[in-house]
Amino acid sequence: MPTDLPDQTAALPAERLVTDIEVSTLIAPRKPVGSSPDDDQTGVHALLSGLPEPDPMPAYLIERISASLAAEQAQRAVLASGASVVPLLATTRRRRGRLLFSIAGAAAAVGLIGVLGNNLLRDNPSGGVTNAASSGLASAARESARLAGPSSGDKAAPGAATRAASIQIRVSAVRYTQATFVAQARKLRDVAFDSPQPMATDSSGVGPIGTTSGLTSCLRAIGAGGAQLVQADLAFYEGQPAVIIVATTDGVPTAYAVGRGCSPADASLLHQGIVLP
Amino acid sequence: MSRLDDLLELSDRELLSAHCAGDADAFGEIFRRHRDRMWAVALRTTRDPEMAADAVQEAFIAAFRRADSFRGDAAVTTWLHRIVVNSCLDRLRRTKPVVGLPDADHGDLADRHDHHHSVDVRLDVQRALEQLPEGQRVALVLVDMHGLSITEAASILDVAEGTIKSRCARGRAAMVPLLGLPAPPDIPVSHPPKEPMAPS
Repeated sequence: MPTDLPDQTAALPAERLVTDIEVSTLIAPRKPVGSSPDDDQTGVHALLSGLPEPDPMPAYLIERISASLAAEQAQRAVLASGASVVPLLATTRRRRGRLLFSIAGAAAAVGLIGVLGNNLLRDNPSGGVTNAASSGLASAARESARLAGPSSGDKAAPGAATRAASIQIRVSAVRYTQATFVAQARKLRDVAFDSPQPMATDSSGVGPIGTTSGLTSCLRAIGAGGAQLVQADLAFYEGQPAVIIVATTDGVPTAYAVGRGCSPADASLLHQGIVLP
Repeated sequence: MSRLDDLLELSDRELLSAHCAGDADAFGEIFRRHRDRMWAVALRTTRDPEMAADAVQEAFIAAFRRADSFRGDAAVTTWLHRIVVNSCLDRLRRTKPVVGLPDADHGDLADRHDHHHSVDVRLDVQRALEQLPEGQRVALVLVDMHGLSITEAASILDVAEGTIKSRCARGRAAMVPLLGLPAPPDIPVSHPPKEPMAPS
């Protein structure tokens, strides 16, 4: 550095004095070294960014998620339809009270179904059925009578809210697993029983199993055709679209997991029937 | 113009708005557009194809249901990334740490166009990433592997940009010995002038 330059610093205010180091700091502000890709000295950024992309989402997963979204859309359509829900029967006689719903009037046009047991309508000591006056209930009653099949007699299912053969179907995103199947099925038995939700028919895109007639066929395929009470959850079992069924026969609830294609030709049994404690 | 063509013309934001307004097909288009990228993020974050599949499915269902929570202050892809990454991290925290890749996963992770050497490099990188703390690993996945900006990554993880920078720097530094890379030269804070490039 030349030393014969005139000293000009004395003419400058103190706050204007800067050193070489401070100037370089102003030009290149202090920041963590390697914090941005551009100044990564390790080479790790270049290595990671150069890796090939994973393969596209596999087809099975596309189908699985598409089915889930279709079910979500179906449920959204049901809620958006503004269907009127008429409570048909309320009972508090048992340790679990429950409301059974029948969808009436214009709601039928969008394929909403609430299924009532045949015995419930014909022989209910509480007389709750007589409170229902909507004309739509008559057609629902005929439908439920056809689906319930032959009467299973007057034997009451111990612990059940009614004596009736009843089918309830819901859609959920519950992920059932083999390890926790019993606990989850018990929850289905309890929770679904209290607040059944109407299930759209084929518009959900889940196939016949999402309808009461399809479910009834499936029940026969797995040997549960004589159940008085059926609670079905269109959900997932071990990551695959499935139907979880709790079929109560003579007071004994048995849980199954079947594939969405369950039919008389192929039961698609994913989890053998297991009696719930 | 078909219905599908109509959807293709819409931006992500417009599709999301249409979905919130009740359009039955709009979200399907969002899924179609972004499924591969979200799958890649889930796969790289979890390092487990089965967990990634569950996480990304859960994420898209959550996005479908909570579409009206999208405030529009970030890109739709950023919003989707956030849901997917959170879904992955939730699952990872509920399970035991993955010590190493199961043999069956090697085929799933390898690109079908990959050469053997590239597969080896990818597996080495995966194993090295597994050694990092979760925050550093996720930061490197988003910034280095997926090319997201610091700002985007910060938004996705809901942390400050400085935190992302710090995690990236520390993560990269930690990866050097894990990958057997040469240690970077010490660099002073005030960078010396660069030497002129040698003539080619």
